[in-house]
Amino acid sequence: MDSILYTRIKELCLEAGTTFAKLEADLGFSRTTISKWKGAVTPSIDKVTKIANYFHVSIDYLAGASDIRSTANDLAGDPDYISLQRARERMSEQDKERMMGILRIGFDYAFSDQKKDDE
Amino acid sequence: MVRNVFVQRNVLELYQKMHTITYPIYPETALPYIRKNCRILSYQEIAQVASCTVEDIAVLCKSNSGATHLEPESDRYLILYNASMNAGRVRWTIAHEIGHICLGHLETIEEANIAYTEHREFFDQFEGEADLFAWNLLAPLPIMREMGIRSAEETKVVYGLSAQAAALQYDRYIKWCRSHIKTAWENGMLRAFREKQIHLEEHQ
Repeated sequence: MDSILYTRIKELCLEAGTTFAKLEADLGFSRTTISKWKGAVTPSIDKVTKIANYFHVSIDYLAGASDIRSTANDLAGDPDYISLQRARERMSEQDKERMMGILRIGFDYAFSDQKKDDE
Repeated sequence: MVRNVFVQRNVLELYQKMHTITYPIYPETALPYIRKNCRILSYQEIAQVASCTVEDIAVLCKSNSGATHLEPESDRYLILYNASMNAGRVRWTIAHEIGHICLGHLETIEEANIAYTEHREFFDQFEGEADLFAWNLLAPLPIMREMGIRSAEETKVVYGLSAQAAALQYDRYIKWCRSHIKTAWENGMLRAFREKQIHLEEHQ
């Protein structure tokens, strides 16, 4: 029977339309690294973390300790803006901050007439 | 599952509120009639104001065409669209985004803290509903029949759709004419259409 880690990575690859080979290349792993996890071989936490970040799921989910994919951070949502898109879920904190800054400027600019009315 | 009746009712309410209707509809003219505080900016405008690139905005929106953002604290909505698209696609995109706002999609996300990774079906449903809203707002099937539309080309010209969207809607229209059953919504749309001062832009 395949390990839960291997099964979950396989599912995530399928959903993302990617392959083990591509994933391994993207993360700098040697070829067949993931296939070795099919059985009893235990991967390093570093590698699992990289895969979790790549697919933006929690390590607990990958390891089978949880069935919830999202990290707590995701589920908490963004307190500043709600958007009908999912770009920020894959952004680094730095990029996210920059994007939120752009959006803030956009809101201020688009509603500048309203500010004048309010004053 | 896409809530057809809910979407149609929202479009009908908008048609009933609008003082005049001009085809092609410029969806931004519907903004004063919706209950939400909303503005529209192009990717190019916001890029200029924020001193960033249009590509940055496309990343922000994760879309090359458009997206809607809600600032929950002030309950303000900002629609962003890419002005480099043809007029038909711009029209469609703005109508689609207004659909998200009218149908309360962003508020649902806010209230439920819906994360895309966990609830993809919600997002797929929202996209389907916003599409349906846009079709019904820009080129409602009962009004196509009332206006005697006879080709995809005519659909494109009268309703200002892109060639692809017009072909799709005309195909849908042909099938609808063959098998539709008259509904209260259709009657309502026709009544709104007949009561309004309907204008048609002069097409060259």
